[in-house]
This record gives sequence, C-alpha cells and structure tokens, in this order.
Amino acid sequence: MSQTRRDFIKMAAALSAASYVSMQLPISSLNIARADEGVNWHRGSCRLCGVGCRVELGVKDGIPMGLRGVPESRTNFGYVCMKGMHFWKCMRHPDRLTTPLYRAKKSDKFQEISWDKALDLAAEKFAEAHKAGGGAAVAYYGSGQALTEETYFFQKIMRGGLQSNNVEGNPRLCMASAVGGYLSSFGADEPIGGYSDIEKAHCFFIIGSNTAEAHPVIFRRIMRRKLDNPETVKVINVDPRLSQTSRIADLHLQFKPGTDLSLLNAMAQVIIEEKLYDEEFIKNYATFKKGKEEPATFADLQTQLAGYTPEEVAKTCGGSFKPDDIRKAARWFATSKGTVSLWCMGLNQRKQGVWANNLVHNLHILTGQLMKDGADSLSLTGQPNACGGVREGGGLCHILPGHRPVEKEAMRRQVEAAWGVPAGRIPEQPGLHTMAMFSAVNEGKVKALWINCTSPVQSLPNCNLYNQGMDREDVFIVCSDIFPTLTTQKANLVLPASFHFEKTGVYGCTERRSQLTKKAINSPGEAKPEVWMIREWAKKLAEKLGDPVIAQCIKPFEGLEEGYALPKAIWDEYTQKLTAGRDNDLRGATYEVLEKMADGVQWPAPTTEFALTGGTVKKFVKGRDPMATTESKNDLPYQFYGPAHADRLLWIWLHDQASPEEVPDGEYPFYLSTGRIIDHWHTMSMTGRVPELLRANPYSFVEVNPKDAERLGIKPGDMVEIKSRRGVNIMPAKVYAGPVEGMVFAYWHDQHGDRMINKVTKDAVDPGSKEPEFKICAVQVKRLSGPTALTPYLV
Amino acid sequence: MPISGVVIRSQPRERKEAVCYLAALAGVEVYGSDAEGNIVAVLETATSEDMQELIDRLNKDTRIASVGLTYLNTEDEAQPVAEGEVTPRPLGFRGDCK
Amino acid sequence: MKKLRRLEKPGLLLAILTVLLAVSAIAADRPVHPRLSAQEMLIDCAECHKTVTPDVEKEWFNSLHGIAMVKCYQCHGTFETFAVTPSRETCAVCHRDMMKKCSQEKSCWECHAPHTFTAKK
Repeated sequence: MSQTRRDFIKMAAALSAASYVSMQLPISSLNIARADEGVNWHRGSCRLCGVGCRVELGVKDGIPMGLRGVPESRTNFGYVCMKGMHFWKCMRHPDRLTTPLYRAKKSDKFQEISWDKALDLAAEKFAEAHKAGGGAAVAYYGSGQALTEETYFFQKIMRGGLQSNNVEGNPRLCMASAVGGYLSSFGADEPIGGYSDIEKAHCFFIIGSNTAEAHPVIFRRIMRRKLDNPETVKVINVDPRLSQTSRIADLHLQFKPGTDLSLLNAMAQVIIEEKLYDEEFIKNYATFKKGKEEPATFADLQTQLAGYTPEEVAKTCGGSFKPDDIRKAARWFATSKGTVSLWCMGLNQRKQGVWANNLVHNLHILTGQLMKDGADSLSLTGQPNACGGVREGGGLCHILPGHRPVEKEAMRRQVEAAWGVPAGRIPEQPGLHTMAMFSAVNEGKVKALWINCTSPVQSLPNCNLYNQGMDREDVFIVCSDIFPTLTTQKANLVLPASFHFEKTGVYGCTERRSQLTKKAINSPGEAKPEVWMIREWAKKLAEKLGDPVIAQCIKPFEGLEEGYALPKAIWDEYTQKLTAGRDNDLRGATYEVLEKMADGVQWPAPTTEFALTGGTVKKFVKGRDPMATTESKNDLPYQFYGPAHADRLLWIWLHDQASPEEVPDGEYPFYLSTGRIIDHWHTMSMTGRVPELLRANPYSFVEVNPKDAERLGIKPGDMVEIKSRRGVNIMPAKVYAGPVEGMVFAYWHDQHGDRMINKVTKDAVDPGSKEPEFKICAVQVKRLSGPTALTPYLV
Repeated sequence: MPISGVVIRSQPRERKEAVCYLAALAGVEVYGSDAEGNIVAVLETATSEDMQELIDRLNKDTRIASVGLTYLNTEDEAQPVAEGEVTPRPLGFRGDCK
Repeated sequence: MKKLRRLEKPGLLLAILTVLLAVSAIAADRPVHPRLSAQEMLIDCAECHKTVTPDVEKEWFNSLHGIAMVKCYQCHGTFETFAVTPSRETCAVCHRDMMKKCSQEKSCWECHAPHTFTAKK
C-alpha cells in the first residue's frame, strides 16, 4: 500500500471513529479526495444483467480497485445493485483460467498446453467433424454475455466458413419467446419504447417478473415513480409468487401457474365489454389474427373472449383473487395516461411463451398504450447482450445479422455479398435450436461443439438427460470461459478468455441501447479475447480444410491488435454492412460515437449526427424515429416498418388458454417454479466468487408456502426433497408466504449436484420459439430431515 | 496491513493516563479525546490476527472500559487473498475457513 | 400496498449469536462483531439483525434501501471489509452526484439518518 493511500485510510478510520462520538478532529473529509490519486476510472457497462447500467471501473497500477455508477447515464443514473457494485472483485480471483487446458479423453486429467497447440487441436477436430458430416456435425453454442463482436464473428465463421447454421446460444433459454412475441404482434423484434417511459408512466403492469431482484436498478426507477406519486401511479403485480416486487404493488393477482393466458384474456374481455379500447387506434394501426394466414375480426375476438369473463377466470386462476380485481386491473391498464408492462422469464420460459407475450401486446394494442410517452410493452432482458449480440448479431440458428431470417433467400444473399463469400454458402435451412442441438449431441450427430461463455450443463432444463451427450467421448467439446464451470468439466479443450474490461466491445441492453466497454486492464496469465481465438482458429481451419472461403471470412481482420483494433473492425463490418437499412440500423453508432456517449446509442441510428443525440427513444414515431420518416407510407404519425409484417400493421391475436406441458396430479402433486435471487446471477460462476454475494445466499433454497409446510411437516431450514419424473434435488426450505399454495419455488444458481434444480425442470418447448418451459412442472415435495450444515459449492 | 478506526472509552478521570498508555503502544495513533472519556484512535497492524490481538489487549487494560471498532480496512490482505496466495481469516472468525 | 410476509429464520443459529453478542457487549459497548463460525457467516446479515437489532432492521426494511433491496453488506461490507460507518466513498458508488451537491465537510450521516435515509430535521 502506498503512503498516500495509507494516510487516506487512516484519516477515514479516524473520522469514522470521531463521528461516532461527535468529536471534531483537525482533519476534514476534504483531505479524502486524495484517495482518488493514481486511480483511473474507465467507463463501461455492467457485466451482469440486461439493464445496461453504466459503470466506471477504478484501476490503479493496472489493478482493479473499485467500481462506481455513472450519474449521467440514462439507464441507471449512477445507481448500481450489489452485483454490479461487487462483480469486479472476481476479476483477479485465483480460480481464473489462465492457460489453455487439454485432454484427449474426458476421463483424463487436463494438461496445460500452448495457445498454438490448443487452437490447432480445435481446428483439427472441427475440420475432422466437418469432413465427416458437413455443417450438421459442427455447432456453436454461445451466450447473451458475449460481446456483439464475438457473437457476430463466431456466427460468421460457422455460417460463411463451415456452412453451418448450428449457431445457438443461451438466449434461446430466456428471450426466444419475447422475440416471437414482438415479431408476431408488432412485426419487429425488441421494444418500441424503453426505460424513459418509466418516469412518465401512470400504471405499471408487472407480470412474470421479480424485477426487484432480477433487475434491481430498473426496479428502483419504478419504485421511485410509485413512491413519489403514491396516489396517481398504480402498480399491478401479476405472479403466482409474492415477491419483493410485490412490496410496491397496489394490486397483486396471484394465480395458479399456467393460467395467466386466461387472466390476460379476461382483462381484454373487460376492456372490450366496458368499451375501454381505443377505436381510432385499432382502426388505423391494427388487424386481427387467428393464425398467421388466418385473418379475424374485432367481432371474432369479442366472441372468443366471451368465455373469459372475470367470474370464470377468477375460478380458473385458483380463486385467490376476486373477479372485480381483474376488472380493476383492466380499468387501470386501459385508462391510465400511460401504461408500461414489464415481464421476464415468467412469461417467456413457457410452452405458451409466445402466446403469453402476444396477449400482453394485445392489451397495449387494444388500448393504444403504445408509442406515446409513458406507455410501452417492455420485455426485460436477463443478460447484458442477449439483445445486442444474439438477437441483432445473428446468434440464433434461424436468424442472420440485422434481424434477417435464414430461410429467406434474399436475406442470405445480402449477407453473403457483404462477406464476399459465394452465393449459396449459407445453408438455406435454419440450424438446430438449443434443445435440438443438445439432443443431437446426445445422439452423437454433432461431433464438434464450441461452448462460449455459458454453462449448459447447469442451465439446460432436464439437464441430466442432456449431460449424457456431453459426456460422450465421440463429441469433442471446446469451452471458452473465465472460470471453471460444470461445463468446462465436460470439455476436451478449455480456453481461458479475457473478462469484461480486459477486452473491448459492445453490449446491447433491453431498450435497443448499444454501449461500448473498452479494455482497461490486461488479462491474467495467457487469457485472450474471444475475437482473437476465433480469428486464429479460423486461420487454421482454412488451412486444414483447404478452403479459401474460410480465409476470406477473416481477411478483413488479419493482423489487427486484439484489444481494440480487431473488435472495432468487426463492429464496423457488422454495423456498416449488415445493419444498413435494417430496423436495427446502427451505422451511426461507431466506436467514435459510442466513446463520446455516457450511455451509448439506441437504434435505429442511421447517421452519426443522430446517434450523437442518443438515437431513437421511441420506434415507429415520425419525428422521433428517423426510419419512421424514411419508411413512411401514409400520413399517419406511426409507421410500422418492421421486417415481419408486410401489411405494416400491429396484430391482435386470438389465443385461448392452453395448459402447461406438465401439471400436478396425484403422483406429483405440486407445481415447481424456479428463479433468481438478487445476490447471484445465473450459474454463480462469477457472483459465487465474491464473498459478499456468496454469503448473502450461499446455496439454493426451496420456498414452501406455510400452509403446505404445515401439511408436510416442513419447518424453516429443514432439508426437503423435490422430485419430478426427471430428477431429484435436496435443498433447505424457506417457509414463506411467497409461492401460492400448491407451488414451491427453487433458486437455480447453485452448482451443487444435490441442489441443481434444472435436474428437475421440464424440457418441453414452445412450438414457435423453441424456448423451454423452465417455469412450470409437477413435483413431489417431502421433508427429509431437520436443518443440516451445508457448504457452498463451486466447481 | 489492516487499519482500523476505534472509539476507546475510559473513565473521564483516567482519560489522560489512558491516552499516555495508548500513545506509547506500537500500532496505535491517538487522534483526539473528549471530556466524557472517549478516545479516537487509529490502529495499524501487520495482520488481521494481530489486529484482533491488539484489540483484545486494549480491552484487558484496566484503564480502558471498552474498544469499539468503527472502521476496518484490510485491502492489503485482500489483494493476496484475491491472488490466491493466502486464505482469508476474517475478523471475528473462529475455526477453519474451509 | 400489499404487505409482504417476512422470511422466517433459522432459530438455532440465532440463539447462539444472541448469546455471543451479549457476551461481547459486556466487554465493549460498541463491540466488534461477535465471533462466528464459517457456517454462521453464511446467514444473511438481516436475518440475525432482525432479532438482535430489530429496530435497525425494521428501519432499513421500510426505507428506500429496504424496498429497493440495497442490503446490509452493500454499505457495511462483509466480515473482511466490515465498517460500522460506511465511508463517503461507499455512498458515492451510487450517489456520486450527491457528493457534489452535498456539503464536503460533513459525513453523509450528519444530514441523512442512518437506515431510514430521511433528512435529519
């Protein structure tokens, strides 16, 4: 510790003690400003959830020293949650992967090898698989935490180089239904408005989201809005579980899991019955659909909704609220000066995920609660770059960069032309979606798999089943990550990656906002940025397969320095060539512009001049969204130019209640749902390595309703067995009037085999979005013993 | 090197004596005291264990009624911990870490 | 507003902690944290403090920090980094703009009551 720093700490220590006994000391806190001496603050985004908080990492002598929020940022206004405040502490953790590791067989021990050898092996195995089975035998499984440059570059090599659309990522597990919902209701992915609507909203409709814990900094804004206007702002919370989010709710509707489609239809029924809809808005901007090719009318909707009276639906939902509560919610929603809906995994991770999304959008379209300030249908994102990297950058098997569907020939040609690869290079069929990909791994059809920055061993539903495939000796697995995970344990080759702030790149958060994080510190050991790994790997692939087209894919990036110049060149190619004229036009959001902005740019932002204003706050509104003007087809103020609706209208869908794949029965009498807690993120490979965060929630618990607990003889802290048709967990219990009676709720972050709840969850998928139904399955619940001492577990 | 801020309480009539005793101790810097017998001091030791020992030692002295910790900084220790060179032994911790 | 029922706590460990705190409280009226085992350190601060310092916990729970889930350790640190009084720097992680608006001479607590964060009259 330097002398200055030590003096500063002593002063702080003395002042702290003096303030206790109101003693005046001859030193003042003015002197404390010197603490900053030698500390450089580097601006970037938070590494964790999808909110997109802007932060500054304090670095002294090349070592991270602290983190603070950026007050000028329009996402967080300087606030950070505990995960944001502490995540930097894992940067120099001794568990960081610092050398490439290899083993020929999964039963062998890992050996340290050189980068050259490692990438040679990766190329060799992918080339071998490709020679034997073509594009179908190779796969990339990425992450909503990878930088946009990384996802884009990986999918370029996979599609343009290896002729494979087997490009997937964990956003399939969390966001795919939201994508499906936006595309089928509004014709365009991602929200129309954003966070700025929160401060102008008069009604919040929060469904299937524990915002307080999963998106704390957004919750702070909602809380502020509510508490500053306790009478005029209403908060409706709709969830089978009472959560921290419910604390600010005026109305909480607790329903039986899976009956929310009925509930949303009942709200629409009230809106129509009481004539609370916006006739002019519907006439100008909306149409009705029973199916994609099956038009319907307002009268059809009215007929369909006749079966969803509040009286009927209150019963369907389990009777824990009154029919008039539905009316109250519908009236608040429809008549407020601005209503913002927010949802997350409660709607998305469902077999009817797309439908559930559609039914929320329906309410907004019917009531015209869109495009105006304070009104939006806002899907919250769980990961920092699920939107920017994966949804926009072409990170799923059916989409190419710039929101282009794979199956459209014209779209493939545009991408091939931009890359300078021969027409027809990108296969016309979408690749395997996540669950199909891991089924193919189970069957040994995928021979070489690259898993980047995610841990499917823990995060896939019904994971016992899919982990069998990853154990196969004939499936070569490459894993790039910063820490050992349950998934690196199944790899043949582990590649140490640079962490956030150790490399440069863009994250795109929930509200169409792209933000740059520049390299501020060096990576530990031999860890390297993924963009470097991809380029060097592709170079070797081109040699081994003797394929000049692969070489062509990396040609623009040859020789560039990987800390800044390389990602910048990738970003330039992606934005200038592949977002031009698309609805996520990012041409104005160059690195130069992003470096100037405190909080990045919201697309569409076709020009740098416009990007420097912050970009588009409201999509589709002439005068606010430049594309609404350039794409305008009539005199109306709103123009829906999204790629999926040729009729340029918003679609109101007629969907009926449909049950989850698995509902409780005599043998498995309880609903199981799962979710997050505030202190941990995803599979806790980062948050579990920060003592503050680990101790606050060291392992997963299962929440049991007190009435169920009494019946089952479960007391707080007792060890409880949760068993489904697929797997078993043993966890300590929290007896808590959170989950509705008949439902238990388990946290999913724990890496310990006994407490890994995805062994129990169900792998049924939404037929449209292919997103699994993590949120609902049937289980047995049994008390095993009294409290047992447990040890937190990290790989 | 851990640094802590403490409020040490003494009987008002024994305050001077206590201050003199403290001032003579290595690792203790007295920043001020008041008529009620409160003494504000900063403690600096090589390790957290030493800090614990020093506080225990002060607590045992007859001129001192109590030692209250208001601030503790262990960033020097935190760094080797972060780099995996040593295992942390948090203040107030008893028993083995693992 | 719907009142959320609070989490129930593991009773045994709390009893131990209460005894420990009582013992050390005799030795010092502003004691160092009672000694804890590794297991005991894995309990959320507020869980114990609900019993041992109920007034403080209640103030916090009903404050903006309590509703927004700014938990104990975010300001006070954990065992290795524990501070009874958070420094200005800790507050500044989130409230950097207030550091410019507020007095440079005073500690945050001279104006903002700890745990309720309401302005002191």
